[in-house]
Amino acid sequence: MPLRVGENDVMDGRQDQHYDRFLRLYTEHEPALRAFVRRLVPKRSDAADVMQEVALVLWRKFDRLTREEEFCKWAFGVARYETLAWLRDKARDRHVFSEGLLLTFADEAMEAESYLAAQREALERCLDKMRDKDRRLMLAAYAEGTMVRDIAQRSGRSIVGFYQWLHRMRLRLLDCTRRVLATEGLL
Amino acid sequence: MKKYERFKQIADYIEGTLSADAVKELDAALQQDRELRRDFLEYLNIDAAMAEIAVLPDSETVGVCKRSVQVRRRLYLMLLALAASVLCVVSLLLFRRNNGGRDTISEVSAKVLYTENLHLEGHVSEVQVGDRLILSHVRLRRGLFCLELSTGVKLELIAPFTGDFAGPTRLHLVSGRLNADVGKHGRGFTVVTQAGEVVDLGTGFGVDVTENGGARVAVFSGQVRVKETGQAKTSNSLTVLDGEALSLQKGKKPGRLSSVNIRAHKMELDAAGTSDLIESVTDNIEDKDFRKFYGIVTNGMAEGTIAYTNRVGVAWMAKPETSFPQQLLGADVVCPFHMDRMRSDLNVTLHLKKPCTVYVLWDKRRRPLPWLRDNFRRTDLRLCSGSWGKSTMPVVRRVAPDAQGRILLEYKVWCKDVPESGPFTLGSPHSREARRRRGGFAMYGVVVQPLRREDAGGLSGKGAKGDWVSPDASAP
Repeated sequence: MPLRVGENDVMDGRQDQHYDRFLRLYTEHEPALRAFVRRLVPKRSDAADVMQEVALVLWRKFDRLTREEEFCKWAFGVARYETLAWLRDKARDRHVFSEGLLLTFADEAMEAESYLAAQREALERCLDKMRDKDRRLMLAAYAEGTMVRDIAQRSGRSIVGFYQWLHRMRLRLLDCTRRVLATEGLL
Repeated sequence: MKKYERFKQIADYIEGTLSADAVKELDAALQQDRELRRDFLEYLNIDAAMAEIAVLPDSETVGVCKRSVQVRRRLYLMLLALAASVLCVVSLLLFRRNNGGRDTISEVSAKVLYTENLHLEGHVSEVQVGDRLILSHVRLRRGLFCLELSTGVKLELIAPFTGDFAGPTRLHLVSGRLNADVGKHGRGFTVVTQAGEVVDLGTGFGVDVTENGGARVAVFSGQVRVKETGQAKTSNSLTVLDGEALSLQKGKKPGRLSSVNIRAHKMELDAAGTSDLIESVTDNIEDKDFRKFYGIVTNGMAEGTIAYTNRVGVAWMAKPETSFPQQLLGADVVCPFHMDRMRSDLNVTLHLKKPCTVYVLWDKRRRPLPWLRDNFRRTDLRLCSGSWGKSTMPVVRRVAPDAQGRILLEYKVWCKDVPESGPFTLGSPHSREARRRRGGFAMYGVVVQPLRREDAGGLSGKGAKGDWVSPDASAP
């Protein structure tokens, strides 16, 4: 049964498989790509914008990829290109890092990706070690559509105080992940 | 600039509050300092991963988000609840003063939510769902009795049960078990036992009074405060968080409970009580942060049974297009902590009451570790756990959704006959050698069946008559 994806588009079985293959590969690498983009752009919402574009480009050009094993490297290349293009558009914004630094970041982030992936996994364990109240608050602060003002109010802090608390928690998690990775010989 | 100040700058940068001049200054510092760039990358990596984790459909995250949306309405309700609480406290104080400071049995109004095979002493006519009852001394000879107090506190009383209400916020539990869900307005609801008082701080919890007058307290969500009975001061009280359980004994220090008998589909005390097969589950971890309990589901293995203590949404289920393995149906299930999957120093010990067959459910994607491969038998049984929510979780990163959009993990089943009661220890879920292979596997599951005596001409075909054999001994 063909799958109708648009008014005039019909996917036959082969296209369907092609799409499934893309979806599987993209789903597998999406967290790493998102984290990569996030490390280069100033705000979380910027990362979401760039990732939309990255996903579109990857799908459009997926035909050209001959070997699945190369998807990761190729996708990172696309993410790097799209992020830098997005940042170039913002070049007049004085709140964005210089292109030279961003290129350095992009290269170093790709080099360190296996360590950074391990760190994201270690984060799960560190979150489990946090006080329940802190963990809930932290997750609430990161949940989509959250108003920081509401969360700050609920935690009994001012907005500034809440951002400081969030920063301290991130540092604590960073230390914890480093300890976890050190015990596993990755640091 | 000190490192801490640099980190503060990075934090301001990601929150978008760093001034243009400060961005320029940070840019220059980052260009010069490779270590600082590494700090920057890792800090943003944590930030990115947090955003990923926060969108997972974990019940706790959803709960928090819902609450944040309802903040304004809650304020109004809190004021109402506060007024009601003040009235309650004043009434209680007056009441206590008239009674020499001791709790006295008093009547409360309660709505019947559901019953199961109930025999409520003193009630000749049958108790119907929706009835409003006036209760004070409550004694259940058999069955389950779930009721809602005027404060919104929902109590599930499990027979045999004896308890006395001392107002709508206080219940003396003399013997038996209960589950409490105090809701939004029931905060402060207290269960008094001989061994200690359990004061709710907005939560769901269970209390079980044992035959020797001790009590076991398990917290399933939120937190409670436990203190000595009759003690007004809270300085000596202990806060117990969700996933933690304590045993209380009068005059003794509270001790950690390593395992709790829970229901198959919900984190609540099980009405069936203890397992016939498993006395308790312990481990070798002495980390002070590691204080949560293992869940034991008695006779509960079936489609939809909770798989892990800290992943309530993840349940055991048949592999798609197959039926649930008969050999495992109705078995006792031990729910370990999924977060332990990376530990190479963990040993889980089952304290068995009788000869059993222990099944270990091992993530199909992994090679079995030597303790499993060399000591257990591989069976043909397969099982899945799920659904695992968003596909970006490390454990399911390479797993595509099934036809129904569920993300399931498949397990191979290994088994071992344990012909004697006593402790039986399982190895670690991870090994140092396997460390290079990161993520991508789940914590093992544990299922226990009684060891059957083989009938003459039985199915197993192994072992002489009278030997203990496993129910699936015919498996390879």
